[in-house]
Amino acid sequence: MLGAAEFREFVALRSAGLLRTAYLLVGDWGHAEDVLQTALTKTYLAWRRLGRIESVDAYARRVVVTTATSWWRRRWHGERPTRVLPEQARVADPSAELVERDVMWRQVGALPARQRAVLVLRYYEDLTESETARVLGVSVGTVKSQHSRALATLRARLAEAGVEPAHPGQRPSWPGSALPEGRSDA
Amino acid sequence: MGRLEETLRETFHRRAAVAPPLENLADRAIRAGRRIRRRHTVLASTAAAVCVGLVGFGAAAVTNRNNIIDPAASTSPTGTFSTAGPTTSPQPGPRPVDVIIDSTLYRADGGQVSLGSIASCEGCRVEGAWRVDGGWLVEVHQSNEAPAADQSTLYRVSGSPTVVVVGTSIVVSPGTRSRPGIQVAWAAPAEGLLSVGTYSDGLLSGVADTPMPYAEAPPGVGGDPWPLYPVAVAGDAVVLAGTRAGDGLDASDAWFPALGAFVAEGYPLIRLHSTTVDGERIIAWHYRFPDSGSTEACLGELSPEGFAVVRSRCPTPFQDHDRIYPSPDGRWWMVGTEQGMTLYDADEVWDEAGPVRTWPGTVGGGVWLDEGAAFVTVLGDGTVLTIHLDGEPDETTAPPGSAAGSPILITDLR
Repeated sequence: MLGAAEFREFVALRSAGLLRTAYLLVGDWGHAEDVLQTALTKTYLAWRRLGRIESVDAYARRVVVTTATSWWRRRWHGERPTRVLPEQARVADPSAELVERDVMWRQVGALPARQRAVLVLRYYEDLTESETARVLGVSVGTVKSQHSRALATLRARLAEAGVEPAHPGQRPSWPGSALPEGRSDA
Repeated sequence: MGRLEETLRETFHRRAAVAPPLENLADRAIRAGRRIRRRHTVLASTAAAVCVGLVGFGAAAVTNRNNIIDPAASTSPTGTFSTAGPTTSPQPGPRPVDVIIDSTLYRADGGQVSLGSIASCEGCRVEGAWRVDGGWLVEVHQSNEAPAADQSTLYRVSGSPTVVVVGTSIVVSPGTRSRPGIQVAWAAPAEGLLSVGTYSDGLLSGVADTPMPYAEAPPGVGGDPWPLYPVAVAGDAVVLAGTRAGDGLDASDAWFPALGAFVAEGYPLIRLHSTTVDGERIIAWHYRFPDSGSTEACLGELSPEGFAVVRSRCPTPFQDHDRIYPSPDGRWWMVGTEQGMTLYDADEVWDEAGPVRTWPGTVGGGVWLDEGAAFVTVLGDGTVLTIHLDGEPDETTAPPGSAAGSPILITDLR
């Protein structure tokens, strides 16, 4: 049976990672810590029932996600996105990639909580669709549909903002900017 | 992986790269957990005293303090409530409404009811609760190893809990002129049925069923039909919505039980904010097409029949997922926005009026008291906030004991 010593060891090993996941879900480090503390308390209450150490991590992550998405009732505590980029964003690289990620972050924050959670689990936690479905307590079909909708929304909003995501290291496409060699206008 | 996905991944990793240091997390969790266990042990040993009878509860359930706003008063909105914050620090004690935290129901009069027998199962969580004659309706969602087996159970809690319905997408509604009494709608995908009935005294009556409704893609899009689930009861209809797996195509529709089985009508797409106070119409985010090639998102009051627009404001001032809470006296809307609960004049909102006031940090849904004199919601730390619209200062109530979860406010349907 798992005891307090094992719980402390688990917290020491996994709290930083769980905090990062919570932050990506709620958009603010302070609130992420609150979510994590609540989730760890719930995990401790369930500790005695978790008979295999392998299930602890999945349980704790699930509690973090459900606490973040339901407790905060889909409130985003980070910055709010705007439909129009501020003028200072339309500059040449190397800051263009920074702006692109900033725009991406803002638009992710504008997504519904469930869609945001799917993206965090798929692209930060690197979970499969079925693993994501288990964490969220939904069907694989729901994960697929939420994933599709989220990406479609991001594509549309980034296009509205005049941002076309580039490969890492490649200059993103801005209106009026020169295209990389070998690439023609579509 | 495409460029969008790669950028998304890099954005997440860069954003989360530098986390602040954490201290004493394990110790704090252990202390909080042990306090909760001790409290549960005390409650279990005094169960006969805790689970008191419900006779006479109704008199204490809804507070009767402060003045009720006179709907005919012509005082400007900013003059009818305090713009100052709460005058007292959050205190434990009687709450303005019943709440559920984790697996305990905390009554407004200070009593408690343990929901451990229905809410402490593996993968279970309370999704919603309503105060009804003789007790409460409590919806418990259970997630399973096989996600397709997830289901919700609606219990009547009055002494020993009894099952009312088992299904998915359970909707509990106060009823309408056409469908008086508390309405419960739910889907039973395993049986291929969607149902609606009237709840009273622990039983459902007048239950109508239809084969599970499906939506079909517009011409030229193709693909398989997908199921529609209940999201509200309005007028004599059960409002439906569903999203197709794979491409995320959305659809809305309505089923009229009095007319028999569901027939797909190809209703326009909406996103439900609420129903009107009388339950007869829908308040929703909807599209209009002012000219060829352009689309505009609007706020609309819609009839369940064909989702015909009764009145609308374009563009809408709200996000499609914002929840609207109309006051019982019809004077206000409290809207759950990303900035917090935001108050609007229910008539002027259609004339492009802006918000009256916002309460930042409010996150937890809400219920109205005293016909619209006060609104109860939840702050991020679990504190219950009572917003007074009659000039009294707002009040806060701390979470009971060391309860770790967020309160679920209970709507009174009596």
